[in-house]
Amino acid sequence: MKTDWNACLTNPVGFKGFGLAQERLQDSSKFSFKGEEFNLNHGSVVIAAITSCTNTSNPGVMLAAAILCKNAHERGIKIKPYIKTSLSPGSQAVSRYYELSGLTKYLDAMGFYHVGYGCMTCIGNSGDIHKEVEEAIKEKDICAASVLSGNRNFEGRVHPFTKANFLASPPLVVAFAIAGTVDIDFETEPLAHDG
Amino acid sequence: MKVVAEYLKAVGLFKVYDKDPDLYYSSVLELDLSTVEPCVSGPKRPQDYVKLS
Repeated sequence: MKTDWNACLTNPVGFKGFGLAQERLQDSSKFSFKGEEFNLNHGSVVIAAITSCTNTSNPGVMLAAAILCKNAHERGIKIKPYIKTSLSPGSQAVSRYYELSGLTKYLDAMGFYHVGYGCMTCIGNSGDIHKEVEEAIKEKDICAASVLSGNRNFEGRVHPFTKANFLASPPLVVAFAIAGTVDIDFETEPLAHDG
Repeated sequence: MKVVAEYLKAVGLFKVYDKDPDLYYSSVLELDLSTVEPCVSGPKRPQDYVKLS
């Protein structure tokens, strides 16, 4: 992932390229959000969505996502507040088994609130991202990323301001949201440190 | 599971994979699960497979 991502940044513009010049790799766009200072870099995650029909019909991965939320929450780990997180399963059955297994509160605690049922982010219905984030992306033309458990990720489909859109399983959506970036190797780098 | 099994039996759709002589599959695909690795797709197309590590 890390190698692939860094290659994509400088590859010529195309399916696997964003055409950035070497000197732009360290771009950083500073912004303040709800009284805190943050930096966006290429690869920063701004949308993380457990969404759409396909992945959310698999209880195994849905429970894994919720259990990751539980474990992270219990260790005091938080997702950066500017990342738009959401949960929109294809079926209400998901909400029912989350409720019955006592996991809804952990998803809520990590910001993965139920926002509805259906396609949502997968088809570009995530809605606006926070104005501050949008401005920070535009200011330095940042290659911001979305991570979603949807089916399609063509440029411009998921969100006009996320140039990179990665399809991932629900637990990986949570993991990338916690990490806050797609520029990470989960094998060798920590997701986060205990809060 | 019980409800599903009862329902399938009632509508004549309950089959045992290797025991039903009338069972016919037009094709059989095999997948070695040990070859499955964590991955994502992107950054712009679903078919662009990226290994997680």
